Amino acid sequence: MTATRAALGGATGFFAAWFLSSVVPTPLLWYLPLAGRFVFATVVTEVGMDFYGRLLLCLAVGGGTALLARAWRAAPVKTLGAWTLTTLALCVALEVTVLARRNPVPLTLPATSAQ
Amino acid sequence: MIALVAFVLLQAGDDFEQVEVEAVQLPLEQGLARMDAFIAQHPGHAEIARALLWEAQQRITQEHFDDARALLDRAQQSKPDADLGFDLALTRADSFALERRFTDAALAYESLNAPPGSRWALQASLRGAAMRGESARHGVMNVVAAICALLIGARVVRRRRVLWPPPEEVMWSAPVLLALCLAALTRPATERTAVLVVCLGGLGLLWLTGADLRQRTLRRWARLGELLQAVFLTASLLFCAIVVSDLWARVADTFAAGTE
Repeated sequence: MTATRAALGGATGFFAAWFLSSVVPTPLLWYLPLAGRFVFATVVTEVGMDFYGRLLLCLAVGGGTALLARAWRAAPVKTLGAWTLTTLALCVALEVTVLARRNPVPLTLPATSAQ
Repeated sequence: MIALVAFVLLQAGDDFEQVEVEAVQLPLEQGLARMDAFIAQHPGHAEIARALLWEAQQRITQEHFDDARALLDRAQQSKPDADLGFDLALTRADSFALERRFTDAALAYESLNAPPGSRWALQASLRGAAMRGESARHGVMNVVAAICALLIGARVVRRRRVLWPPPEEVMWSAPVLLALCLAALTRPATERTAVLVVCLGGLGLLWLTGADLRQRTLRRWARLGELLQAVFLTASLLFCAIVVSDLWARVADTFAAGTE
């Protein structure tokens, strides 16, 4: 039961951190693939990937809440399960909303000389 | 600060255009002092009404609406030309709108009597319609809020002894509502107000309904009644949140034109 509580607490923290870091400007670790380096920033002006930084942040928060849930022996598993499901639903709703409106624009290819 | 104001007073010239340019470039209070100096030194100047209109517009930006309307009254007494008279009347109506006195604003726009086809007539017509809509919505909101207060108040009185500890429904929804409230804190004031009203009001409704339902067994028709009441309270909460945070036009636009 302790492991279940820890897992549900960790998942709740992970999803809550994912939602909040997506809607609130949060400093994250960004990977800039063209420059081939990482930067710590809230927004970047060139092509950047925040996935790894966001994942690390959420794992750290999830780890913290898992420890808290493990230590909170009186925590009802049913309530923790409800928290996990509702925060997951919130994240899914957010991602569906964001992705439904996304219109990816491909980068301009580097100019090549005519063959 | 005093020296600077005294300096600009000494520099007060009689060319309104130049004074206006200088006043715009100064910090607001100093700009107003500059314009006051111009008005005091040239009480019979042809542009006094425009100077007073400029001051009134600055007072409106500071949300000193009574001061602004007093300045507009003074400008009206200085017998401005017809065009400026319409500008003064329009600004007066705008001050009511910004003060959220929607009925007064609608009346002020209606009584403008600008020439048909003129920009004042167009603006008064559009803004007047918007104000009539706002006025009606606030009227409906007051009625809806009064009905909700009666329904909720009756339930609170009936179940006041069983409100603690909070029911399971409140505990289950707490993290989502907390996350939404935290996210709302970083948003502009209108959105923040709407989200906080919906989240905290929704939490209150959940709490009360959960505590109430624990105490009784509902039969078939009573369940339907309870469902209808919950739908009414939820819809009312959403409506009040949108109206009170001035998001009606944006929500209507979003439904009409999509999220983009």
